[in-house]
Amino acid sequence: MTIELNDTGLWQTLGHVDGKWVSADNGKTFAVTDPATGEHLADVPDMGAAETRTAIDAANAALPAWRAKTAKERANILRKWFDLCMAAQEDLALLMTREQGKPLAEARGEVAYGASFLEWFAEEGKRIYGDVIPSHGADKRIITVKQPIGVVAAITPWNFPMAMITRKCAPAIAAGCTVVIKPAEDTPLTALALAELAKRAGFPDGVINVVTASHGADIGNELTTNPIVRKLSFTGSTQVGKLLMRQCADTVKKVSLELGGNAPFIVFDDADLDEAVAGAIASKYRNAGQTCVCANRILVQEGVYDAFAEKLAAAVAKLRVGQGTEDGVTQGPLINTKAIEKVETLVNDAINHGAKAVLGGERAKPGSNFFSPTILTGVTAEMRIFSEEIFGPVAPLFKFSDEAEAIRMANDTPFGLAAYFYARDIGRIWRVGEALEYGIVGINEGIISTESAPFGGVKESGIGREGSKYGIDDFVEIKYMCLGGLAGKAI
Amino acid sequence: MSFMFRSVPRIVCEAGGITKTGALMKELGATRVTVVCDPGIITLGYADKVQKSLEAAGIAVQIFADVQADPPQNIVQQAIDGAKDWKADGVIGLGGGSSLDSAKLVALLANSDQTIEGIYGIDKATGDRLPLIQIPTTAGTGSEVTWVSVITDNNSLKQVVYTPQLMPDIALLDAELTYGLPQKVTAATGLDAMVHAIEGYTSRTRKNPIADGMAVTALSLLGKNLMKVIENPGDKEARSAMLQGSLIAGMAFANASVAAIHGLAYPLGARFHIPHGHANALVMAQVLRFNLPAAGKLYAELAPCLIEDCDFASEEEAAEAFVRRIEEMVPASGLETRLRDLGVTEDSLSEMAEEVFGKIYRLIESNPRDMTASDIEAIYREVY
Repeated sequence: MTIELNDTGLWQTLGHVDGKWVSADNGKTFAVTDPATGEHLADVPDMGAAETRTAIDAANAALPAWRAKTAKERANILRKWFDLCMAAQEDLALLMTREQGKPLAEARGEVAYGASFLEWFAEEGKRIYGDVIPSHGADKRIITVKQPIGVVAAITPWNFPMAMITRKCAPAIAAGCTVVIKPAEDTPLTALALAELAKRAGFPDGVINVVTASHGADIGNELTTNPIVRKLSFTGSTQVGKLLMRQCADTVKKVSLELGGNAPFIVFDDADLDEAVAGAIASKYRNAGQTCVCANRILVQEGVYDAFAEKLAAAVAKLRVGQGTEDGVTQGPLINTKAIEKVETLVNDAINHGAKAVLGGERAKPGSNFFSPTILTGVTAEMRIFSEEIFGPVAPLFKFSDEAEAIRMANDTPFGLAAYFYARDIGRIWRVGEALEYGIVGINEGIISTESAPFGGVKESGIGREGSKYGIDDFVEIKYMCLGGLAGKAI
Repeated sequence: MSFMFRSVPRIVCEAGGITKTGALMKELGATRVTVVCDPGIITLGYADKVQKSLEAAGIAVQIFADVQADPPQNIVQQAIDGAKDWKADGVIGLGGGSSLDSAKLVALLANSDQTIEGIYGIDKATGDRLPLIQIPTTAGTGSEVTWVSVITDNNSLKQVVYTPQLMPDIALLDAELTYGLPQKVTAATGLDAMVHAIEGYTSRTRKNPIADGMAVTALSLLGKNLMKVIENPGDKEARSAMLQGSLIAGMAFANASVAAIHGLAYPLGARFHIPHGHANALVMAQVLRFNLPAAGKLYAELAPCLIEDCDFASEEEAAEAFVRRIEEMVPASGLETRLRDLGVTEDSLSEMAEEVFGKIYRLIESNPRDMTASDIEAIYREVY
């Protein structure tokens, strides 16, 4: 065990199938490393289609008994899982920081956020109501019930190693589905610890299964083509999301996709600039810029452009880069070499085309995966950084002259996940809020994630909503039952 | 005299030997191995070590970590089903007696269409088991070298499966796995092993010279080292001696039978979940004292195993010294010595006595002195 956990039982390095811990069929493993130091943390199974099929079969075998339980019985186990996760907050946070890189304070926050979905859906699971619909015939009655869709595949990303799992699995499980989870190859340890906690919470064997692999293609292919799987929930890149969606077509699976974003963060000239700076820091630099709702393009009205840039630079200069386990660090490493190279490429492209790095602009000291918090001014829509998701601590500042231009620029992207704007005028707030083609809009607010609100995107940012009272809809099917022949004689 | 002696074909004894599990399993030809253990084994990191070793040998691993003490039949069934569904072709028992006993049934029934109920009793199993390596993490049960598995059925009754297939291919003794054993577990399992040696040696039904020799060797190792490991848990030599003593005692009793101490201990485990070794420890001194009139000669022969450099004037003196030594050791081991302190209810005593006499009579039969139900109840009352 390379990470000192209080509860050593949370150190799990095998996949979890049918309540047992399993290796790859050929015993092959792949390495999990600490992105901050490059240290080798663990080896976990490099599984493929065959192991995934076994997991799907286990989930299918567990389904009849699980969906037959009352919502309350399922809720009690989910709630227990929530309690166990919160009790293990420090250990989960440490695992997450070591394999993912985010500062411990953020990791603790993610554990609480991730766990909140378990609590929320334990409660929501009891409220999956059907309808009695006014009938089209005197001798008929129309009733609808909502039933669990079946075996669910969840493919989750590395940037939120816990929350993306719970956000998908909690509603699925609460509704009566069983799940096969494929966590990101960079962050399987948090996922496996979660599986251990789930086991302790009392989920029957096969309800929650975790399969791991260094390259997800084989597992992804099995999960999307196996007819037993009735639903895919994926969070990750748009490119992979499209591929999975195509693969799901042949067996007509229901899909939920939470894909890439290109979030605009608009600062109007009537905004409270200090508030806007605080919001921009929160949105842009959380997880070192590696979230799908991170502000990707900061659009600032020309009258306040310089003042905002100056205030933002002063605030960003205070961020501290370092290993996530060190006290006071706010900016951890990026996830891997590929990530840092991409950020570097985008920043260099912008600078080569005339942008200016008023802060940062290059890799930071502590190790090869760190990038300095960066602010670029003089950025224009012609530069790659306008249209590509940065996923790094880089804030490009674009200039606009009026509201119409801001909305046009903000919507000039195939993506539509989160958007933010800062303004005071109430008319402008309604106009802009309604005009933005995004699933989530933060108005005078930089942090929009909560289990009680629907999270999800439009356009190429995805399909479906996670969290909130709507989150369960993606895991149930509506069945309409028509009861006829009611006009017989009284007896 | 006629007797039969069975033995495990291979014993590997090496500190740190757990890392060889993969290579040994490979020799046995397994490619998909189910490891049967309990959650504590995961926490201690032992399952991780076995996993790494198996993976390094290119063997697929499935870990069943849900074993419970006094293994409930339904949990063992889950392990069997899991191994079967996963198409395991090898099994490893890793842990205390409960895990090893469970692993035996997994190895046998994952390769068979028989049910657990169908093989309760003696020699009911047909067909071969899967390759099996047993790795004990306590020094006590000797389960790694026996062909018996004791589990708790759905009516809370202890059920026994005796069949030669349950003998493993390899018993792997790695003393490092016992360095961290908590004191009470060390004490309870160590005393259990001593009971195996003593009852094997004094068995009225299947006593034999091979088992006798082993019992004496085992009891010497155990008797001289138990207090050492209780007082100094890090004493590596003593830990290794305990593990060897436990295995040898296991071979002895399996070929000669245990007796009344085990008989009286069974209901304490099944009804009140007192760990098996502790249950033995509770009644051990009183049963030996009860047996003294009939077993004096045998106890006198065993006395030098526990008491070094002592010239006894007579057989009686030696036997008395032997029983007294046990009477001192049990409380000195740090274990609770009263049934009432462990949740046993007074009104259950006569019921348990009836149960022992009625349903576990085979263990009373092998006891050196005849015992009636009221004798049994009297012993329970004495330690209540």
